[in-house]
Formats: sequence, structure tokens, C-alpha cells
Amino acid sequence: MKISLKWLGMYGVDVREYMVHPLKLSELLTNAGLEVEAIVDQGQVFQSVITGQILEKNKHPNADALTLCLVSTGESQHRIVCGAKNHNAGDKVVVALPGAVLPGDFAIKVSKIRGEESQGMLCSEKELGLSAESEGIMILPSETTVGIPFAKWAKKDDVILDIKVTPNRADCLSHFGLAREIAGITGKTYEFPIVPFSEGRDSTRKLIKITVEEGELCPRYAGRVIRNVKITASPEWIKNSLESVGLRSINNVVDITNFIMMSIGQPLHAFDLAQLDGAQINVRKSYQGEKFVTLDKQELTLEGTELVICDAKKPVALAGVMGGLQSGVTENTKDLFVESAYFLPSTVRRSSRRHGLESESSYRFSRGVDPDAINLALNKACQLIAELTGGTVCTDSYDIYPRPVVRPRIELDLKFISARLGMVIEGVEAKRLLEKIGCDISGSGARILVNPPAYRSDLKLAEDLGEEILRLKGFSFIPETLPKLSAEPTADDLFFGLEFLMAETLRSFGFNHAVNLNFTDREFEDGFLTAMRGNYKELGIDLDSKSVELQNPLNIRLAVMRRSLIPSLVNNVNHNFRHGVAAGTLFEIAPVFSVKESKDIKEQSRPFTEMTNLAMVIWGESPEAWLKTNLVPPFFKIKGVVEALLREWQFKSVKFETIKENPGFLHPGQSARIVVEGKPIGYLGVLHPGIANKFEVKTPVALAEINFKILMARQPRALRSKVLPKFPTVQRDVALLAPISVSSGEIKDTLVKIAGNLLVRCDLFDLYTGEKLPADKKSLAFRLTYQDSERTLSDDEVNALHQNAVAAVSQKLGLSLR
Amino acid sequence: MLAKIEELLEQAKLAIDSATSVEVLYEAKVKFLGKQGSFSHLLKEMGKLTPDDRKTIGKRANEVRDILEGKYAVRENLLKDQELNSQLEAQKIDVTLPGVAPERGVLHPLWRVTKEMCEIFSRLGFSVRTGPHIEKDFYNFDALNIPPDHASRDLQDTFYINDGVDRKPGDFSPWLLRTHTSPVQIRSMLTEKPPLRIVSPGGVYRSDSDMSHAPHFHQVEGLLIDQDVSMADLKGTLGFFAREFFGSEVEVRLRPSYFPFVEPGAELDASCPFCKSKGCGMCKGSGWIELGGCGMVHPLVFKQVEMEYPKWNGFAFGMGVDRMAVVKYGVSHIGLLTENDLRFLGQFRP
Repeated sequence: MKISLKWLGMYGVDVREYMVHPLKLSELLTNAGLEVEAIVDQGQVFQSVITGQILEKNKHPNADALTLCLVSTGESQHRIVCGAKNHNAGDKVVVALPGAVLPGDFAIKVSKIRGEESQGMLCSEKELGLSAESEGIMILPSETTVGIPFAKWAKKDDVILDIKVTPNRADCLSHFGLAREIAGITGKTYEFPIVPFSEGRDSTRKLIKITVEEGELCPRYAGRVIRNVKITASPEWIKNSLESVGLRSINNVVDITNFIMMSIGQPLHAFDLAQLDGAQINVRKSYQGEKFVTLDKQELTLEGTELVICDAKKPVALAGVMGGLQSGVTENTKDLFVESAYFLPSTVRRSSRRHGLESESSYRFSRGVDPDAINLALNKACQLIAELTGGTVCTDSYDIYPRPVVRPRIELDLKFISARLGMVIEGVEAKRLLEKIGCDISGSGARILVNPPAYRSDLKLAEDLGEEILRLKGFSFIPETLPKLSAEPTADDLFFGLEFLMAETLRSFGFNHAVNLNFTDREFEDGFLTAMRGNYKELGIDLDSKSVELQNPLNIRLAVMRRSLIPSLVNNVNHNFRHGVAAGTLFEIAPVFSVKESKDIKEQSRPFTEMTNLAMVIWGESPEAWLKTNLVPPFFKIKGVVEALLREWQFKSVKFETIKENPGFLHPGQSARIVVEGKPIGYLGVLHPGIANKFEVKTPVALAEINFKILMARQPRALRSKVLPKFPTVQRDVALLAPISVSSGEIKDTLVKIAGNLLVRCDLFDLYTGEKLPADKKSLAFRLTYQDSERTLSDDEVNALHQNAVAAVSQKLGLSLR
Repeated sequence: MLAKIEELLEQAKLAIDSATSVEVLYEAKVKFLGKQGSFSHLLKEMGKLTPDDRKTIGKRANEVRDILEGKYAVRENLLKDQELNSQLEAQKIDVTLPGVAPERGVLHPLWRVTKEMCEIFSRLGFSVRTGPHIEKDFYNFDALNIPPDHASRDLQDTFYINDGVDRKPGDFSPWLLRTHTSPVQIRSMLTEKPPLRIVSPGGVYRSDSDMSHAPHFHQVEGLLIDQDVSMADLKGTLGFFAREFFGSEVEVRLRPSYFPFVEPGAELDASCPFCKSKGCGMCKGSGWIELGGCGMVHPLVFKQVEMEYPKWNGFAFGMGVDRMAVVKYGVSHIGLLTENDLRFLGQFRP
């Protein structure tokens, strides 16, 4: 909220020092929990800009369109080149001297213009930031004193603070409220000057009838009629005040209500009495479907829940939020009904959100106004309206307040508060501090009774008073101690540690850790994952379900939650590639989200799935490519990493299987699903060239994605040491000629199965296809290692076992020895 | 006979000395010293000699054989050395060609900071708790004394999740993306027995993105529930943290602020580690860096989770990991943290 220091000075706070040193006030407020976010010193803006008088106006010797003026600024004279045409000798003008910085960072310097030195500038309104357009320079009235700062002349000598007022401090949402707060903190006085006004003979109660149907939602409703007003523009002082805090001037009556809102914090509304049907007001809930047109011409359809101010026929205001168009004050308005009320904060906030209408009024009502200030505000309005519009204030007013708000009575145990704050607070000190902010205290010693003032509705509990005491004493007094350890520390959440351990594993494999936003663009993700649809069911990763969608996304690019980490990682690859990182690796461990498949989403206790995935990408060729011996195809790079990773984590049964219905974003011939202990846990492969093309990926990309939670659920946790085998191993090699269609994995699995327990390793060491073989054949060479943990195997025994196994496998799979 | 031996010695010496390769040398050895070699032939003729001659000539013959074998060995070593040297010469490589380096990746700075923060608190007995990112409004708001239709909900601009129910504008689904990791604390308070010392790291979401805030960022929050806990304990705990994290010269200060789930509530500032509180761009000239919010857990939170109060009492705090990374490493803008540019990530070693 913007606060004008001049305005603040109207309420008995001495602001002279703060005008000169606004940082002092800023620190004072910030340390009291009212953070000052910005300070604008208007005088600073117009530094070195002063009033002057043109003594001589001469033609510029080298340019017909320019004039060379001799200008006095009182004590000194300046030669200034000017391009305007509207000035004459003797005119009072605004002079920006060298050193001045005009709005738009326009720095004034001594400069040569067409060969003549110009020692400053004569300013236009536009150049001074006073209006958007202006013709010629600004000519001041002839009575203007020469040589005074322009800021002072234009009354632009205020200091404006922008204060972040937290939702609990509704009492500080006005100048008077803030003056009261400053007085409280500094222990000085404050006042709200009451100016008397005269009343006419007419009676409000005879001119309008008021009923409050919804006493719960509207605990207090007051109002008064003012007759025969004349709607005009506001006087300058009101205009300036409103402008200084960022409000626009409308007309005298609306400006007065806004002025009072910014003064006292109480929003007011002025109705055109003639427009209130039946000359009555009813405060009720809306009817469902009822229409209401706001001041700013929006037609709302009401829902039957909003609190509305109605006349005999229709709503004339959405209570606390905005008035209606028809009953608003216009230049033809003669008689006013001015409303000053207390609406329940939650009802105003609900209406405001429901209809997307936020106003200075709803902002204050939804934080809670001071129910005790209703009449103060109303009377101030009557006084100002009578004074500035010539209207006559009726002799009586309404004040419907059947159940006055009761100020709480809080028992304060100083021992409790001292223990909570970690420092001793004596009763005397608590009393002194709380009285500064308007609390009434009874009792003394270690237990006192505290009545906070009505405007401090945030003070309800002893704990709240504890904070007040601390705030007024100063948070800097809190000592530093350490909490005593009273129980054994507990273990961390398992997955937190596992994620970091996995990140460290991947880091040791040379992978770099990525963190992406968990939002994505639905079209982008769908376009990536389901461009060429496949069956994703067998992957162990749910890519088929619907995306979790935000109800209120920031923009379309961040509208849904990620289902897979791969599309973002491929984006990262593109970013890197475009920035010259020709080869690299990335991995990410992050949550992925999807909607649970169910006909009725409402039946589910938790309708969303939240998993954690691990994804990896490799792109480009490694820096050793110059050696040529190390050119591993991308598929085997990523597969090697996944194998190493699963080995590192000691998973026993690991298989890579052809995906029957390949997902569209994977190369159909270079992809596999990963199966650990019989459970699919993810996939790996090479990015489909079609997708690479579509998303402008200009480098080969291999990728893998694993369901981290399912995988980790299978991880053997306890490490166990085993006795090493004592007896020697025996190796036998075999080269097999196989049809192309038979996979290496199938041959190996069959060999392992048939050879039995004595076969401890089986490694492929050569693969050949080419000229020496028929086109539909390939040759595979395996090295088989046999070992018995109990004894030494004899050659004959191994030979028999080996030959039997090879023969059986060959027969089964249609292989021949080579 | 003796003359023959001497002649043979001279011939063999010449042959050994002139051999230029191990092979040629070996041939010479066979020729003179082999079983069928000249020397053996000569010795066979020894039988024809008188015993006296045999004695002197035999002695000389043995001497000559020793000389030759010694000479041979020396020559052989020399030639072998030469051959090895020329082999090594042939194997000479351009040592300025690049090496084949093992790759070592980097941990993302956000995780690095998260880990460091959790480890510091772990030394004070705090342990890590995690929770879901999609939360129900009860855990994110109501239980934290942020009731529906209360202005305090405006403090955190919330992303709501479409749950398939048609809603009017201004009405939101009960499902949302957590705006802080405080719901993890609520879950702990509901399921675990006090005393509690937990930190909850993780992603959080707010719909008020600008130059210095991403809509998805990261937090570490902490909660301590025990008997006899004070605001001074909170300040001491956070002071310890700040000094461990930024350096021993750092001081902390608390400033009054408002968070609905704590009372008193405070902002936590640390003296700027960059400029040693002199004022710089990082602290915007103030000498202080805002680290996060904290306070004593509000009585209404204890009521919501049905934990006996004031028998049990506690403090809570929350800090932004992204902000901590920016301050700790001098990251110039937060966009860098989610771009995953290897040129940026590569700076966070070892």
C-alpha cells in the first residue's frame, strides 16, 4: 500500500524528520513487521529543476527554429537554447539545470547546440512527466517566485512509501491506521481531527428505509442522506492526495469516499438516492440467477450466495466489492445516500473471487475493517461532502448494529510468554508495551488481563500478545540458544536417501544432473509421447493415462504436469546442442503425475498417481571419437549404462526384451523394455528419427526411463558377504551359426538354462555377419566358464557337459557349429 | 694347435663384434661355439695331443671359450638394448593428443544445496521427511490455520488441480500443488509421536512467477516439536545453520512478519556473506539477505492435528533452496537453474 508522508502528517505524527530521512521511518516500520518495499522521494525526482524567468529572448545565430534565451533563476543567469515557440521575454518558466535527471533518465548537461552553448533546458510538461503530451514549454503564472525548487512550486515535495501490509494487519491499511501504529511503536501521540458540520432539517429515516436481513454477514450497517449536492471535479488537494497513492480522481463525491477509505481504512459507498427504487435498502443474499451490472459495466449473474445491497427491486451493490452502474453517482445526482458498513470478511472475499472483481474496497473488507470506525468515517464523509459539494446533511442517520463486536479479554501469563519467547518479560514491561498500542490492561504481576482495541482484531490469544510484546520490545533482543535433544533422532525417509545415492551412481557414470519444471505443455508432451501411438502397458511406466491438468495454469506452456521426464530432457538436449554442447549426458530424478483410470474420478480417495521416475539421455559423439576405436552405437551406450546401474545396485535378474508394440517416440528396431525380477520397470532405446525431425533434434539421442519406485522396491537392501569359490574355473569357447531372427539373448538364456548350475558365466565375445556367411545367418561366439564350488572339475566332465549343452541348444534353436 | 686356437679366437671376436643384430650374433655363436661349431671341432682333435700339450692347450681353449662367451653376452645385451630402443622409438606418440578421460558428472546445484541444508540440520538431530506434491487443501491450508475464504490464502498464489468436477469461477478443487512443504510437517504431526525434529525438502509450486520466482521451486522446511521450546531456540538453530552454510562470520536476525501457522512469526535474515554487510547487489545494499520465514507453531495448528498444547510446543521454519543456491553460488538469474545447460552445470564440481 502506498503511503504519503504529507498525508500521514495530518494525524498528529511529526513527519518532518521522516520527510528528510525517509529511511529512518522505513527501518522503523520494517522492524515492526511492516516491510517497506519502495521509497519515492518526489523532491529527488526534480532535483536541479527550478523556477526561472526569461530575461532576453534572442534568435539563435545559426538556426532559425531555435532561440537563445537569457534566463534568471534568482541568484544566477543562464544562457539556454530553446526550440519552443510559445515563450516570450518576461515569462516565468521551469528550468532544468545541469545535473538534473528528468523522467525517462534524461540527464541535463551543458551542451553545444548548433555552435551555441546551452546551460540547461526550459522544460515542457511532457519532459517533466506531468502529462503525456504537451505543446511548447511550460509557462508558469506571472506571480511565480523565481528561483524556488520546482518540486516545491508544484507541491511535488511528498515522500511516498510502498508498504507490504500482511493480511493480519488490516488496521494499517490507511494513513490514520499507520499514524496510530507509528505512534504506538515510538510512544508518541496521534489524533484524528474532528471537524464539525451543520445538519439540515430533513431526516434520513424519512427519506430512505433500511433493512438488514443478513445480520450475520453484515453485523453493522450505517448510512446517511445528503441532499442537494453538486457533482463537480474535486479540489486540487484531494486530487493530489489520491494521485500520490495511485488513485484516479473521478468526481468530488467519489473522491471523498476514496479519500476517507485511504484516510481511515473504511470503504464507503455513495448511492444516487433518486435511483434507489422504493427509496429503500435491503441487505440480503442474492437470488440465484439474479443479474447485476457493476459500475464498470460488467453484467454479473449472481448465485444466491453473495451478500448484496438491494433497493425495492434489484441489487444496487455487491456488498463490499463494487457498486452498481445504475445507482452510481453521476453529474446529475442531487441526493446521496452514503453507506458505511462492516461486512464479514469471508463473505466479501468469496464474492470478490467468485466474480473475479477486486477493488480497494474488497481488499479492505476481506481483511476486516474496524467496526468501531464506521461512524467516524461516515461523519467525516458528511463533513467533506457538505463542504465540497454544497450539500445539506440530514439530521439523523442509520446505525444498525444489533450485536456489537465484543472486544476479547485475554489472560496473559507472563511466565508462559517468557518461556515461549526464551527471555524474561516482566508484567510491568508487558503492560507498558501493550498500552502503547491501545490495549486496556487490568491486574498486575505475572498474570494480567488484556483488552486489545477493536481495530486489532488479529489479537485473540495470549500467543498473539506475546508476539506484540516481542515486536514492540524488538526482535533483536531474542537470545540464541539451542534446543535440548530429548529423544533419539529418527531415520530419514528411505526414498530421499535412495534418490541421492542413485544420483551419485549416475554421476560416477559421467551423467549430469538435470532439474526441470514439473509443468509442461499438453500439446508438446502428447505430440512427443503419443505421436505414433504404441501400446505402453508393457513398459512399467504409465504413459497412457491422462495428464494431470491445472485448473489455473500460468500459461499454456505450463498447463499440465509431466507424465514422463523424457520430453523435457530432449528439450534440454536441444538447448545444449544449440549452444554448442555437441555431446553430453543428462539424467533427472523427479515426480511424474497422471490421472488414475476410473470412470468416476470422485470415487477415488486420491484420484492422481504420483510416481518418481529416473530418466537419462545421451547425445552426440564422445570426445574420444578421434580414436575411432571407441565408436559405440548409441543404443549400446545407453544399454551399457542401464546394465551398469542395475549391476551397481545388485539387481539379480535383469532382462532387456523387444517391445512388441513399440512406443512411437522410440526407434522401432533399437528399443527395449527393461525387466527386473520379472517386472517391467521401464524402457530404453534410440529416439525415433521421425520424432527427432519433428522436434528439430539435430544430434543422435539415446534415452532410458525407469520407474524409480517400482525398481527400488526390488532392491536387495542388506549387503551380505559370501565365501569366494576355492576351486578353479574351466573355460570352453563355442562358435555358433544362427539364423538372423534368433536373438543373442535367447541363445545365451538357453545355454545357461541347459548347462545348469556348473556354468557360472556365459559371455558373447564375437559377433559376425557378412560376406563369408549367407545373408540370413550370423555367427556368435560365446565363452562359457564352468566351476564347481565343492571340487575341481575334470576336463572330461566339462567336455561332456559343454558338448551336451551346445548340442541341445543347437537343436532347439536351429543352430549349427561353425 | 695353439696357433689355430688363437686364430679361431680372432675370427670369432671379429664375428661377434661385427654382428649388427641378435640373429646374426646368434649365427656367429652357433658357428664358433655351437656343438657342431669350429671350436668343438678343434677340441675333438685334442685327443691326438700329448698329455702335457693337452694340459696347456686345454687350459687355453677354456680361457678362449670363456672370453668368447663373455664377449657374446656383452654384445647380445648391447644389441638387445639397441633393438628395444629402436622399437620404442617406433612407438613414439604425439603426447599432445587428448587423453581418454573417465567421465564424472555433476549433481545439480539445487540438490547439492538441499543435501547440504539437510545435513546441517541432521547434525542437530533433524531427519528428513518427504510427501506428495499434489496435496489436499486440508494439509496445505486448513490444518495450517489458513481457513477457506480467509485473506491469508492470498499470501500464496495456488495452482489448483482439475479433478474433473465442473466448477464456477472462483471455486477451486480441493486438490492443489503444494505451495510449501509444510503439509509434510502436518502429516508427520498426525502420524508420528512427539518429540519431532524433521526437515522436509522438495518441490513446491506458486502461481506468482516473475524475474526472481519460478512457478516451481524448492524448499527445505523444518519443524521441531518438544516440551519447553522457545523462540530463542529457533534463533539459535537458524544461527547455527546460517553459519554452517555461509561461513562462521555470518549473523542472523529475525524481523516480525506474518505466517498464519506461526505466532510469533518472523522473517529470517542473514548478514550478507558477499559484501560482509557493507551493501552490494546481492543484498540490494541493505547488508542483509532474506533467507525465509519462521516462528513458533500456532496453537491452532496443534488443535488441527489434535496434539496436546501447550504440553507440546514447537517451532517451524522454511527456506527457499533456489534462493539459497543463488546466494551461495552467486547465480545470476534463476532461469539458469532449470535450463540444464551443461556449461552452467559443469561449474558445480567436485
